[in-house]
Amino acid sequence: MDLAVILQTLLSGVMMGFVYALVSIGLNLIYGVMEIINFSHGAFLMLAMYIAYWLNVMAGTDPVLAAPASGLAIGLLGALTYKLIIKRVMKAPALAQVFSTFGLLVFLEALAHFLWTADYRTVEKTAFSGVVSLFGLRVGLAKLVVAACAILTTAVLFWFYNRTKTGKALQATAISHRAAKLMGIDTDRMFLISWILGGATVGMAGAFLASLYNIFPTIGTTFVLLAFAVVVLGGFGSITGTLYAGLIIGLIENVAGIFAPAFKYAVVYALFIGVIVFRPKGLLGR
Amino acid sequence: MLSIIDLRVNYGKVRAIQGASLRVEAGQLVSIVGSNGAGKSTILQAISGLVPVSGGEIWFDGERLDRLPAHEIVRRGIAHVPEGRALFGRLTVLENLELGAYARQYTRREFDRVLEEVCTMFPILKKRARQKAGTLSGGEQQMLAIARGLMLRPRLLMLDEPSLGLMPSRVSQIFETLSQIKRRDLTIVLVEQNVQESLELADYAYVLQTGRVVLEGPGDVLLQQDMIRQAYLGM
Repeated sequence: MDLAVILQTLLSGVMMGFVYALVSIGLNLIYGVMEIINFSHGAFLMLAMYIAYWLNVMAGTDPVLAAPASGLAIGLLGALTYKLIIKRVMKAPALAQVFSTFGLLVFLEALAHFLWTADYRTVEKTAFSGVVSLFGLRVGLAKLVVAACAILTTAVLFWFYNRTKTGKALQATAISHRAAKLMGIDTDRMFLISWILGGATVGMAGAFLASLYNIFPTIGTTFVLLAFAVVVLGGFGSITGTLYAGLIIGLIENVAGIFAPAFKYAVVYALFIGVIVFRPKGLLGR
Repeated sequence: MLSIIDLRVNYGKVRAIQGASLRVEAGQLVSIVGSNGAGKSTILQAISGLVPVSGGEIWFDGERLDRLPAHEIVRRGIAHVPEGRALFGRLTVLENLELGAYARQYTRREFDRVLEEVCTMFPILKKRARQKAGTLSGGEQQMLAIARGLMLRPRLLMLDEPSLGLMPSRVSQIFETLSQIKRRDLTIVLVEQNVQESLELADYAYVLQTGRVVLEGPGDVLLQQDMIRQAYLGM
């Protein structure tokens, strides 16, 4: 096989890996802090893609530039989800928590069907089109910009999580709610922040993806399944593990895509099942 | 300073504390002793808001505490070093100490000064600053737990079984540390199974049995009581 094809594939895998990591980080952040899986994460992503799409249609905004707006909107949706639903089911049986976010997923997808039909929609006015040369490899500019923005967003989140007082408080809450309370940390506020951050990151990721993929009401499910694979591989509760796993999944998907394009997701999910069976805590999980 | 009046705490149908009343004056070290399940830890948890109070009142410097959430109680200057230490094992020693100061709005300079004070008391922690807390030895972890409590510059420090699970040499080190802290005029509530050392150190002490105070008095006086000598000191 041509070396250029291999390198092209690896580069593409790494670029998509950063996007998958960003899609998944919010899911794992919320799980890490609250031990609740947000099944509506995919619907959050779908809504973010529609926000980017409609801003593109109505104002001509490039989806990448729409990311702050969709991040803000989905961050707010995360806050509302926590305040109106999650907070009320926190002490309920685990199944109630599962079905509350699953129900929200179904509701938001049905709402998208109702508002925007099942038609596929594509962003047409993009500021970043064409192909550029990167170390002798040809890369779509839109994909390159999306990957760069995903890296930047992830870097900012890592800085926040590891370097700020609130980030440390989130980590402390993720380790032990009880011990966090004894430090004077308002754990309820930390739960809210984790939902805002979880929503904002997937909101930004959705805007980035809007310039690369068709948009339709169930698009989120495709990505959220990948996000589950990323979270399981990286380890539940590990933000760093999510980053590594995103890159691994991106690479596997792209490499498998060379040999058997129709089979690439089967390879990813075979790995997902393998990790669950042989190393349930993932790469860096607790 | 701290006044607990007719405190009642229930765990479901189990009545863990059945009308206990205690007082702690500023600058005192007050010990609470009693056998396993007597309710000693529950009293500390009730003070710090970790368990809901079913009845009675807890007052701290004229303010009622038993209706406040746990994080607000810490902000009033009450540090609780719980049994089992509750360290953040995946975080470094320094990060644990930073979290100890979370409720205080220290400037960088104030934080450095408090950290220096605490590390003077526990020099080993300075050496281990970048090490993950979970990798420390049991004795070092206990020192870190106490140091983390002191980072709050608390007005009241509550210690729950600080010597539990430690080697005898480490136990005496912990009690030496406690007497050092006491000399700084800090108000301390100490829950300990090590009754002899605990009462020797205490200005005042309470003996708890099945959720009730059955005996109280100055530590040295209680040490002479037959009930204490027979039940807890094996004499």
